[in-house]
Amino acid sequence: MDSVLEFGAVSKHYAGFALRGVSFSVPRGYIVGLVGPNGAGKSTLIRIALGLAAPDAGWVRAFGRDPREGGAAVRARIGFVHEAPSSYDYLSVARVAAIVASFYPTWDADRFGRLVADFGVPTRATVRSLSRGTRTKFALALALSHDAELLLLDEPTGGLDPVFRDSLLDRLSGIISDGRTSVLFSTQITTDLERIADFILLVRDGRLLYSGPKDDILDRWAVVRAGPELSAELAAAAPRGLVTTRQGNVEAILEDIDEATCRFGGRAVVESATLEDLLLICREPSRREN
Amino acid sequence: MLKLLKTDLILNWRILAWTYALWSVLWLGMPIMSTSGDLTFGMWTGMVSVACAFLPITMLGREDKFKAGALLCSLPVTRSAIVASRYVGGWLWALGGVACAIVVMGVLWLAGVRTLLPPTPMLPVVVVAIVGTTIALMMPLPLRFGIAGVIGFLVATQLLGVVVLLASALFDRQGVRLIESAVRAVVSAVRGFYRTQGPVLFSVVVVVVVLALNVASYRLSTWIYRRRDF
Repeated sequence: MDSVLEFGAVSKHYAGFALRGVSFSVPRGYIVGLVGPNGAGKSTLIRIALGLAAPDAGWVRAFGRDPREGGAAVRARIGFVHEAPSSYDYLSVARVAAIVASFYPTWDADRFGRLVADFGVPTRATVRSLSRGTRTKFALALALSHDAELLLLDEPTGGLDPVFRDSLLDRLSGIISDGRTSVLFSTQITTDLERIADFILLVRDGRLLYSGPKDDILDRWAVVRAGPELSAELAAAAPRGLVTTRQGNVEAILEDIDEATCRFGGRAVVESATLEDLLLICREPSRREN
Repeated sequence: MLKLLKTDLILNWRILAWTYALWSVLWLGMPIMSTSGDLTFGMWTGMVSVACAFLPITMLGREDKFKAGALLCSLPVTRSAIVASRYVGGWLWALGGVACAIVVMGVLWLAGVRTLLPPTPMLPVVVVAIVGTTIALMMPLPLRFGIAGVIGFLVATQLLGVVVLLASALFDRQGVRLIESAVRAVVSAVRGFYRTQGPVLFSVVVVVVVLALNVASYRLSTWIYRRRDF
């Protein structure tokens, strides 16, 4: 599969946080969902992908080039939505768009006009007067207006109302249907990813805990909920970690629902895993939750 | 580069216009405020040049305030081009301020105000030296640390002055005398060079030194900015 973005053993250290040896790739024409709790390293990964931050170790290739060295040529092919979109707050939406447009040879002014109209972004308003959700819509309109081949979206649905979120997800699904455009989409709203993602990356505490097809998780993986008496047995059977609730019960993710049913069926609740289960349970073993 | 300069102009034209207007009023008022009438051309030129040199630095700090660096660096433009545009723009905005001051000086002369000495051929050299040296020394700070870097630098230099004064009061003045002698030696050497070589060669050397300082500063800034995370 042709990859538009590749990470190889990327590490990055900040005070109180470290990304450790992260490797993954984003194939052309697919949506890759990046999921993880707050502070897991999702935004750092996206900023490194764009060249806004440099890895301390490892390598990154976007369209076959280092985004820090490839610079302008790489970023011309990327559309980016920041978690907290920063902009020239005192300028109008139209003025900021004109500034951004001047840097992209492939800028499509008609498409931008349609997007801001569809999204309900007032072009005469100053950026500082926009609500958080409208700022995100404006950032999305900018990212979608220059024919980008890779969209890096950092929590784009966070401040959006459900109706707009729904239409955005449809739009993203439509965008990748050309087989040319890819999306790396970070979020904590796992239902969004269940709906549109083809691949999932799960990060926690700066480590990549899972990288693979979403359908593998939803079709084959199981969540097992049991009483404390099964704790040791379940811990031994669950390589992806086990959570002990305050009530003393245990929850674990197993990678084969048939095997999990055979082994724990009569003694525990075995259900198909969701991405939320993955987010809640996949972690270092014996971490207390709930 | 032109796109970046145009962007800077779009973003800052109001600030530039207001600053130039306010300075023009200030420059006009200075001879009137100078009750003793002894405001010299050199003092006036120095104040104008330093103020103008700090204009691009404060503009950069303002950009830092809006955290717009992340937006700029996510656009298809190289960081070295961004840094280059900061230096070129810095010179342009600073010299724009100097131009306003020269116009004001002309108005004063036409109005018959004679508290300032007439402009000399060395005016452009003095301006280039002060503006260029200040930009070269200061520009890496906002590019790395934002406006906090500039404020920190200014506070640190003030504190350094206080420390030197305290040290000279508390201890023997030998160290201070050494510094004074060194400064006098440099000034004397510059004057001697001007006298022996004449204004043309002197001006060429000053411009070359200032340009070399700016090239070195640009390289340092580029190195710093390429490593900056947003």
